[in-house]
Amino acid sequence: MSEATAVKTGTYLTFTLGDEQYAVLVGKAREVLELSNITKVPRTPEFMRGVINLRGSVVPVCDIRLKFGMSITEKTIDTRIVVMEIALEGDTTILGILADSVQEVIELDENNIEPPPKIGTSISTDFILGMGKRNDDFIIILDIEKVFSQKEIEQMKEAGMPASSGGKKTET
Amino acid sequence: MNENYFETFKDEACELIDKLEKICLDIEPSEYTIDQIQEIFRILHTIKGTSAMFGFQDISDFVHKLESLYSEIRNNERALSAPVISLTISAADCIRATIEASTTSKKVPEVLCRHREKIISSVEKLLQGEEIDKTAVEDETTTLIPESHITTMYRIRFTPPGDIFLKGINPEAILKELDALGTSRVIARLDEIPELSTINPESCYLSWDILLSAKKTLDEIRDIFIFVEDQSAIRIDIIGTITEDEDEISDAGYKRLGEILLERGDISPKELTRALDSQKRLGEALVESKAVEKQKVLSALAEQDFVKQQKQQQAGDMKLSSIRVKAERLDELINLVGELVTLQARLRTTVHSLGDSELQLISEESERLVEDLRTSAMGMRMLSVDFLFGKIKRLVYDLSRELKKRVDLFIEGAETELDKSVIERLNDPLVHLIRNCIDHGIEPEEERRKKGKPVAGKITLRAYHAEATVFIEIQDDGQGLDAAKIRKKAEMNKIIEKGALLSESELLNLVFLPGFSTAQEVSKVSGRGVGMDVVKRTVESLGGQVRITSEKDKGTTITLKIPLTLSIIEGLFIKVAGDMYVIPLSLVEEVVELEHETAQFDTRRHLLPVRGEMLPYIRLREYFDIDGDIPHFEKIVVVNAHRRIGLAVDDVAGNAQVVIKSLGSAFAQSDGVLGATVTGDGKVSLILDIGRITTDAIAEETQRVNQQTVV
Repeated sequence: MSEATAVKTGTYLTFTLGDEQYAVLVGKAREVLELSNITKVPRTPEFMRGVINLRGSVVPVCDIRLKFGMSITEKTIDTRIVVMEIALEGDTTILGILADSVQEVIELDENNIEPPPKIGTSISTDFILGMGKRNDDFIIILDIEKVFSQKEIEQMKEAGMPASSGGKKTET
Repeated sequence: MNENYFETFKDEACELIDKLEKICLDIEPSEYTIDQIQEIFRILHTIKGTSAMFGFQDISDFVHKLESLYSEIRNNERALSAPVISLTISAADCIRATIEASTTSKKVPEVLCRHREKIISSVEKLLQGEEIDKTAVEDETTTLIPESHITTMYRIRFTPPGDIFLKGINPEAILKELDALGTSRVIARLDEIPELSTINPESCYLSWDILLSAKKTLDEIRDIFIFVEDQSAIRIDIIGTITEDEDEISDAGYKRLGEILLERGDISPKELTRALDSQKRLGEALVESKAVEKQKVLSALAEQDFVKQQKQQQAGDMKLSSIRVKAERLDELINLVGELVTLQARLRTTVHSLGDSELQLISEESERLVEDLRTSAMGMRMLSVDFLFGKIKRLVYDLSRELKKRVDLFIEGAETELDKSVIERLNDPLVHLIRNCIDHGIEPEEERRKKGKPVAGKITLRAYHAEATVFIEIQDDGQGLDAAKIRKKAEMNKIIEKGALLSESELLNLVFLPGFSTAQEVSKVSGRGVGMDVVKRTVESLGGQVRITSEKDKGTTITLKIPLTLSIIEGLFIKVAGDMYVIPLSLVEEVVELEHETAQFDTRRHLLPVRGEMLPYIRLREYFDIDGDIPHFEKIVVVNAHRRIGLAVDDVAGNAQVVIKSLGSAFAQSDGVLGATVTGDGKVSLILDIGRITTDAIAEETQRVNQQTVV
């Protein structure tokens, strides 16, 4: 634990993508929704799954599995949309991410959080704030702002645009 | 003059005057900021402009004088002194009183004119550098409320002679005439009607008690009875007045029943005391003891009621005729209503599946209410720009006469809707821009003739939706802006360094700086350099932009780009691969059917004969890269954004009003979509950007053609 880490003791919301557990600071998460109709916006990268109606406002939904190189999120009974407040370049953006399931809200002690490993994770370490340890399980704490930082979005746009041809339609 | 426009003008002017007053009261002669002076100046300028537009030439002239005074202060040629401030306040009162007075009568009261003369002469004295007596203009304004502003309530008892019909007079006409004066309530007194057997059908047995509240004098009311007063018994009493500052309204505020009856002479004091002693309700007691007919009691009760109502109404008029609500609050309301609509849609589905007829009834009723609520909530915000453009028509008419230039105004897209608050705030900028156009842009007739242009200048006012914005364009075919002249002026006013390196568009943009005017002389219409900075400031405060392009002798185009955050459009719902999309209905011309075979005819070129014309069309599935089978019969929606083009869709599903919502920054660059809307069932439908789709399709087509030629 030589490296200084930004991760402090705090309350986290945990969820799963595939078999792995992930967490975000609970303050970033606004609410958890059941998967409803997502309207695909044409000509956008595939990981931008579309928009939903959140009590009258239109909120974009991202499939971070696709961003992390996994397969597209399939709809199951446990699939949820986690609506987050993300600070991007000074603006607060409301954005939903798809999770295969949402687990619980937990307290993680500073001592139980390790800095991100250099190798061995399925996703880019840039996105990881730290690794939480709980009952022998590892929880990947995401730096959600980084995931959606402008650079990332732009990169994704470049990479995503051609891929969007033949993009899938609305999943319900 | 159109009532509606006048009302708006009145509201606006009063608001400006209030603002002016506030600044004047805040300001200290010893320490004031240039911003405050600028603000006063702007207000005066706007009042001058709008009042001239509505034909209040005297106000306009009057304000012009005052403006000159502030112009000197602004240019530091004069210090702001206490007399100037008090003069301004008196002037504000005077303007307000003049406008108020013209709502009630055509003529401006004598006293007001005198007062105005006084202020004008004081201003002139100041302008000539003389000192004025501080008290010279001090308030006379308390007396400025015109007398006709007081509402008086009358009680009229009209008993026509029995043979009134034989004289060819219809008493009903008199009652109607009275009613036309204000608000009236008529109570017919039937107590003189004899038994049916003895009735003479040609006689009049009726008499009337009329309660009237009107802004009229007693004499004016007497005039109505002029033809019948000799034979009839007419009694007119003033029972009260309502002034604007009436503040006590209560049940106890008016006379009691007994008093009214006494006053009318329907009962004697003796009868009253006797009835009062009998522990019953006075009316009943009196009727029972035969002291008075029931009819008369009812009439007296009606009077009580009428007076109360009138006073309340007056109070209501003052307090509730309009409320200003913050736009955010309306936004909030609209959002809540949106949620309610969604919830209602769910309720309907659930109830439907339950099959409970009683519950269904409730759901339907609530649905109707929700629908009404939504319509009214939406209606609160939206206004078509027609409202704004209508005023401009009048302005152009007046100005072209004043400046002796012939100008034709063309208006396009007046049905484009914008938020009310936005429209309100766009008014001043548009007025300034049009003034500039006519004053500076359009050349005098001889000059136009020399240049070989049509004698009449042409101004086009255009509004349209595009992507997530509304554009308002003001285009003239005048002389255009002279970049060299702007440079010279800017250097003279030390706005830029001598010989500073500026591009032409940068130079053009200098006109938006405060205090900038290229007009050689200060004319009455414009040229004081307040116009353009107001325009820029206002549009920017709305989150918009102003763009100016100009070509010498071809004309100038000024484009206001206003973001469309909460705007409603009429939309046509279309279906592609099971999803609903919305096309702005204003762009739709017609819908035709496309049979699969016809389409197969030539897959490369999408062309369809529509009424003898070959119409190019875009298949939305292809544009959006949507997989799936194309249905046998497709619909072609013929749209027209810049050019006619068809959109092949699976089906058309009707039209509805939709609220445009932004997709947010995550989709800032999504092509062909200008926003989204939440439909009644809670789904999100995308609103198509037809202009973008058209241009994209043309570009793609060109690219393909080029590739083909290369190959």
